[in-house]
Amino acid sequence: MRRKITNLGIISLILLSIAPASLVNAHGERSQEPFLRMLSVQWYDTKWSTDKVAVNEEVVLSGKFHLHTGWPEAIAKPDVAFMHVYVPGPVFVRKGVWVNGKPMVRSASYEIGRDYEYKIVMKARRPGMHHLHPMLNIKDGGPNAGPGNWVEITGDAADFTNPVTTLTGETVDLETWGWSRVRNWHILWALLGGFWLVWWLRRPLLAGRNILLRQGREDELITPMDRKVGMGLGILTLALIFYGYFSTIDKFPITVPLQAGLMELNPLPVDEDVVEVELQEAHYDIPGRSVRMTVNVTNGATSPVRLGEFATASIRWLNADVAPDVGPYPQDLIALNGLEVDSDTPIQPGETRTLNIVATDAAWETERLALLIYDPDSRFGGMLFFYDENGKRHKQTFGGPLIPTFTAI
Amino acid sequence: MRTVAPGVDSYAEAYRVHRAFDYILVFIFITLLTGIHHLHAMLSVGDWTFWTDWKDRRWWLFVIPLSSLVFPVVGQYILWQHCRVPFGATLMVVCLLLGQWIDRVNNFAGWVYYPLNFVWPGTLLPSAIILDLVLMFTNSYVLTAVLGAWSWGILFYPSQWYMLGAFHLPVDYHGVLMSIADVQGFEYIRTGTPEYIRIIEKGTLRTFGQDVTPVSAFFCAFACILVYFVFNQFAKLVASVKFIKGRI
Repeated sequence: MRRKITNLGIISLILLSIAPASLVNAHGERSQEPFLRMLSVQWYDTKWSTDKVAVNEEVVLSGKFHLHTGWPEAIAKPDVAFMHVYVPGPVFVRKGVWVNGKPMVRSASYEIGRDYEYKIVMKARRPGMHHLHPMLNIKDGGPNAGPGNWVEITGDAADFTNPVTTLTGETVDLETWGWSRVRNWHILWALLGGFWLVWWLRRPLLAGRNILLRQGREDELITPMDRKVGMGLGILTLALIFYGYFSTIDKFPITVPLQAGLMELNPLPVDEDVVEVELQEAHYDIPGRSVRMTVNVTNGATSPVRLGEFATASIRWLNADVAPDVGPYPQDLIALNGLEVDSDTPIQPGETRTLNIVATDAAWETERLALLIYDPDSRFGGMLFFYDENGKRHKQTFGGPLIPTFTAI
Repeated sequence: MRTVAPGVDSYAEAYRVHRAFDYILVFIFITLLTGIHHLHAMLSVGDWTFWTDWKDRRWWLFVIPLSSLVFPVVGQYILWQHCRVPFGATLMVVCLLLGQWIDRVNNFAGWVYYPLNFVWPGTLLPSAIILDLVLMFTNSYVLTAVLGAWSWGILFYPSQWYMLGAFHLPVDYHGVLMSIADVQGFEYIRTGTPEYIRIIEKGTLRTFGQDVTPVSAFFCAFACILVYFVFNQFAKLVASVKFIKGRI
């Protein structure tokens, strides 16, 4: 019986080891809870400058995000947040991040209800297909990833260089800078430590010495030669430490400590000319994969507007008659004709109108937003984009309770 | 009727058996300790050992020697107390470094492509050699705690500066002053490690200006004395055959 189990185990291991493994796509951004994605950071205008670069070339990821006023209580406020990117490790290096035009190399405090514009410059390092997202990490709240797009890196990783010029005038390659000193120092100490081990390992080590010790013959275990070698090793150790320390001070007399602390950041100015939106009710039609919303819209702008887009969790439902060209946006995050409005005539300046809006697409399911009914805060939110006849855009965030409907409507 | 016969016929053969026994034990110990000590370092002070932009002058030089002293103290006690072999600390640190370099080369560089000059660990071998030598020359745990453990802590930072100094050159990075280590941390993306997670340069040690490094090092050195005493006693408690007496 035991042999059978053993054989079965061995066969299972062999089968598992040769079983084909499927390619991992993206990094689980869909696993983030729907209420988090729909009520915290609203990403919009996201653009990738290209979807194919060679090693050493740059991709610019840019766009804006709005911090939703309906920020869930369950998520920490973005008092400390870091403008980040979601990529599989250093396949790119990040050459710069600007938020509202300011370099943002560390964390900053962000204000709920306000908008921010970012630009992230990435330099291609490792060939392959890589999913590239903007991301805002919120201290105590976790990451919030924006839309992701595939970017292909071609060429040879060995060609990658990453030069940086220091304030002392040296241009160094971050790929290799300092490595020879690290390697040599470790090797040197490994040789000295190894010598000390071998000095004792070359003689009977454990049982024999234990027996002598028990017999009271301790003096035979540490010989005068051991002491001389130990003394020499001690002096050499201290000499090397001091040599290493002072020679480095001599070689690099100007150094600075690691830099820490929050950076200052102001949000984008608030639009004066706004279209107000108030959610009356919303239902999620689970079998139909659509959300039906009733909203009151007041046009506070100076020209008539029509609803062109509903966006939430980086997915865009478009009214194709109104919304302009969306550009190179991930196709799986666009519902090109997924937005229906019952009263699609222009809303006049000063007019308040009730709109019944239906946003339909399989993305509710595939992007796992349908799991909202399992969230601790079953509210949804998003952004509505209105356009006037000249293409000028007015955006407004809104949100509120979402009631699921489990039977076909 | 069973008879018991000696396993060896000569002193030469006994010596060979003895040495073989040594080598088997050393191999087992090194393999085990490499894994365990490395795991201990990763769980207790992981990020400080991983990244150059965590190797600061307040926390790194305090937490690394303190946390990494535990295993050397125990190893030193066992080997010295029972065999008078004065390389317990050195052996433990060699095991730690072996595990760390296997990890850095295979995982950090091999799997996720971080350059090794960003993910190197510090070395405690200079401190370990001194700790072992103090025990050998004094044959006293008290003096080893006071002199050796104190040296273990105080010598850590100067013995790393040969490697670390190059990463503290100043850079004007888009109008922000940063060290090269900061730039590495910013550019080589750690997707799950946003910048605010770094525990560096935080604390109330603000009245010493630029001389915070020696203050932290001295504090660490004194704390190491305490750690030495505690884990020396721990080793004394557990490194004993009293638990299995009567069963063998």
